Amino acid sequence: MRIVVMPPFDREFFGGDRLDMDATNLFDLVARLDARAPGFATIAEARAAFAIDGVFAPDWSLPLADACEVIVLPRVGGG
Amino acid sequence: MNYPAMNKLVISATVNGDAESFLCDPGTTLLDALRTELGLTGTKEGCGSGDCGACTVMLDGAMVCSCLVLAAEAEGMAIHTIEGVAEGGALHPVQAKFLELGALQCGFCTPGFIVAAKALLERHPDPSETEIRYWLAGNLCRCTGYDKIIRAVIEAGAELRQERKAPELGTQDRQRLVSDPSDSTDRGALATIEDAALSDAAFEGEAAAAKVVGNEPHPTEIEP
Amino acid sequence: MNAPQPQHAFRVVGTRPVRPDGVDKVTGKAIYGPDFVAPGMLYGAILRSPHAHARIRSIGTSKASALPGVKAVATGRDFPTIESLVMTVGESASDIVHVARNCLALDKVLYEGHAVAAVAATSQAAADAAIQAITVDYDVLPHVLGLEEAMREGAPLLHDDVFTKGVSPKPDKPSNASMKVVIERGDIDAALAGAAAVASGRYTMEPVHQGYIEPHGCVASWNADGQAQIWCSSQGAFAVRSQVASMLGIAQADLRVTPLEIGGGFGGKTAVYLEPVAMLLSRKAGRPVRLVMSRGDVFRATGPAPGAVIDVRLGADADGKLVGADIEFKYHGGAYPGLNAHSGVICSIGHYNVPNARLIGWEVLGNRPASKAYRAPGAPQVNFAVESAMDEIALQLGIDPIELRLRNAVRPGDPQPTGVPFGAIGYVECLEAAKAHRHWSAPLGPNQGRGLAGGFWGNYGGPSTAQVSITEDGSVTVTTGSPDIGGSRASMAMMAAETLQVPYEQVRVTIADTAAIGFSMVTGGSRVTFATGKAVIAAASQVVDTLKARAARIWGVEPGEVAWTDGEAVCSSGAKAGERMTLRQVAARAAHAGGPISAEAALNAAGWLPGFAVHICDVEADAETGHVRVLRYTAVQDVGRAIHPDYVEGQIQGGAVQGIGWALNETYVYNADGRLDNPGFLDYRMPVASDLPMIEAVMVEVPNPDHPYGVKGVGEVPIVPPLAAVANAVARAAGVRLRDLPLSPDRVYAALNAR
Repeated sequence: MRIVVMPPFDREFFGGDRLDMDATNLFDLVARLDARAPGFATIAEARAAFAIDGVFAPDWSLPLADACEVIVLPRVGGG
Repeated sequence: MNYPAMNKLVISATVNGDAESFLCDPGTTLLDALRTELGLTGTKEGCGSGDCGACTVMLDGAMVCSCLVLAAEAEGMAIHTIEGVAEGGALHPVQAKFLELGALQCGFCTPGFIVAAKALLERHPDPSETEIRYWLAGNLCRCTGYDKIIRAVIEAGAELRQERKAPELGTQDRQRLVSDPSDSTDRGALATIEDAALSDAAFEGEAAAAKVVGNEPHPTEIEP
Repeated sequence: MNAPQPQHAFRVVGTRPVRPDGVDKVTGKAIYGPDFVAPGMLYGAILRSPHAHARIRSIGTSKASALPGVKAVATGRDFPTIESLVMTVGESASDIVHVARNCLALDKVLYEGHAVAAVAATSQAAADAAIQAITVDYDVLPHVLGLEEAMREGAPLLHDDVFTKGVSPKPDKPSNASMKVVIERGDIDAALAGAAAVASGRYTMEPVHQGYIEPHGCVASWNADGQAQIWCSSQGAFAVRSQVASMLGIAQADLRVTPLEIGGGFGGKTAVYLEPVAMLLSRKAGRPVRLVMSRGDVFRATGPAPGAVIDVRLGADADGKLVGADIEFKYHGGAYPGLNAHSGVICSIGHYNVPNARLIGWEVLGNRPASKAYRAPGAPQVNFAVESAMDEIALQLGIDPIELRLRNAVRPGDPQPTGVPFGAIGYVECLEAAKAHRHWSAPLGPNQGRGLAGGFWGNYGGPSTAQVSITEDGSVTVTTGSPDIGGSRASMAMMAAETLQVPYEQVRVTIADTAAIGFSMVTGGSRVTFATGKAVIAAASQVVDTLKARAARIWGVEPGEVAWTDGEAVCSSGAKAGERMTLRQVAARAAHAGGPISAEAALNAAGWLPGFAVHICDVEADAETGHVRVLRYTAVQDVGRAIHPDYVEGQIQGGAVQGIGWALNETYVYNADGRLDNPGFLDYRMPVASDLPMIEAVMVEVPNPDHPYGVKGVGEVPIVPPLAAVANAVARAAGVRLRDLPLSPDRVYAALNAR
């Protein structure tokens, strides 16, 4: 599946904004991203949000299809 | 400046109609005495410098920032606070209109506004919008943008005038009297505008149908 | 249950009932942060740094400790040693070590007003006297306030362990620039070179404060057995619990946080300042301790919104279609990292389709209080620059400002800057409503001008818990963990009443403490009516199912043979067909038909949609004084669907006026020593009633298909367009464009006389 990493995570962790990897769900994906860029998992809970095929996915346990696109982006809550 | 080592003063005053005595330091403000010694925490401190009006009380009929008055100065005087605005279980019309028109959000500045607005309407039963805005210019509200507060004071004034004119009428009759459909501040019917251009632009489907609802006509168009 | 119901079906949603907490708030009975009293309570005071930047050599507390009535003294050394831990703090993420250091400095003070030591004593006067007896030996360091000064080589460095995030390769030297966010697409330089019109300029502003009228206040009581309670006014009792527990190394279950009424927050009360300090003092003294800030403390030491330097180049073709946006902004982070420059990047041109873009956002630290969220955090600053540039393009090309925006506005399905497509948004509908509004075509007098600006904010959902219970007499209680900052008890009661099909007055709402209800994220991000509302509706729906099941058992029929109609159980088949049972009748028999009726819903709400707004502002500029008066103001907003229209209008009006203050009056003023020159309401001039006209709120309803009643967040976007709406009006009234906020009389006067 295609992983699109949005700023600042692209440069902060992965040195680029396009990754290709497979994962069963978002928990698994976070673990795999952490293996590539140690430290990502510890900040993911607090700072990251995920969109699967253009839809925000607060539930990280949903199974990921092989052909899907996951966007990793910063969480913005608001005031 | 505080004087913790000095002896306390005994102050006697009338608070919301009742005789009260309390102890305070010479440097204690009336605001702190009301809140700490008398437990009347409805009067709020927003700044402690007389700039926000959250601590507004009446002192012998004069509207004051209680943070700028020493408690000792209130000796022998009549103090009226937010806790004394409602009579028994009945809300004052200013309080009732604040609730009815949604004129508060967080509610922290509300006691000061209500004490100040009541004082205005007692002196000046029929103030213009501009007069209300200047009278209340010493009270800061950060939530509402003042719009609904001003409308509530306008409507409370109208209700108080009706009360004076028709003292024999009950509350329901009074409400009916002020609900004049031509009144610009009447919120009875929410204006609904279905605009043709808008409908064209709206995308398909019931769930997506756009509706435009305005509040009231702009006052400059009512009072040219 | 997920598709919005048509408007006509609603019985409660869209009406304007009196809020359930209203009488307490108009009679002075409501208990806010500074009002709470615990038995045996001590009074606390905090000593704050007079310096913008200094190393603490030593703190002498023995004299203070020996004063009569003093029961405890605390410094930063009283915090346990904690490891770096990035936590969600309201809207953004912060390192808990930084949060602790901000509550009480350790080794270094980073801004004037930074807390250094604290005292608890038997009276406020004794506590105030005791902090004066504390001696601090400072080694004063050079300080830095300006954004570009702080980024320069050799600038005074606030932290030696902060490295710029978001750059590759990872920097090997620490920096005051704590984060950089870059989004690029297309070929921006070629696009701007080929543009028919380019608007460019540098826009600046200093920080502004949220300006809530209630200063921060709390009472903490930490017992010898390790269990503790905090009573405080906060946008999130759960955020207080998690941060304080992490900082002090205690289990969250040992800390019960009770939310008091909150006197305004606007994002600024998502942070903790006093609570951990009151806890330390209470632990030492063995008694409850109250801490309350003065207004000066609030200005000097709590989160302002960042000031900014924004460079913008915006280009359009001859038809007014935007071809490129080149934007670089620097925002103040203040003393500690934690701001999120990302939101500013996303919101800069997110409301338009722009094929080529280079969007760069910097978060830059300096010797100022740590920036905190303020209503659509990060969006108004950059929107001011972009919407001013849009106005310049409209003037250059001779296109009507609304028409220009319509040609570029995002529509459902268009991509957001993150790549995630927009859902059922209503920006076009807002622009059309503004165009059709009588304000847009009303005549103007001499020295008057009309400005328009649009903007957006992403909004949020997130975790919430709600409980709905039926009492024995059939009345209803709703319990949530979302502090009611502007009337949300009313909207919760309305959504429960709508779902249960009962009268609004039959439903009462409680905001529970952290031990009495499951987790809810902060009241912020325009999320409560959406997300906590979803939890309330889900719990109420479960209650309806239970009521039907109980009625079926009482009748001896199958659950599927009972319908819930007009708030009553109706038997639909069998011998009892047509029989009805009121809610009260079911409730009275519930104990003998399966037990009490109550349901809880705990969910992580998804499906939120952004808010869009278009504001129109008329001003008159006085050539003799430079004073700008707002004559008329209309705020159009897509609200999804207004549950309680009074409080939706109130959000729009309040946000617009905060934006007007930001545009015309409000600004932090620091002197050369790095000390705040205007830490009070006299000199930090927020709008008062006599400054303003009525604010006409026009609610456009494009319902959210992902909320049962169509709700979209409404609280934040109203502060996004006003800065540019006011500035564009001034530009058209005065014939000169001002790019530095606030548009104070001296600046306007100078600009008018330089024409």
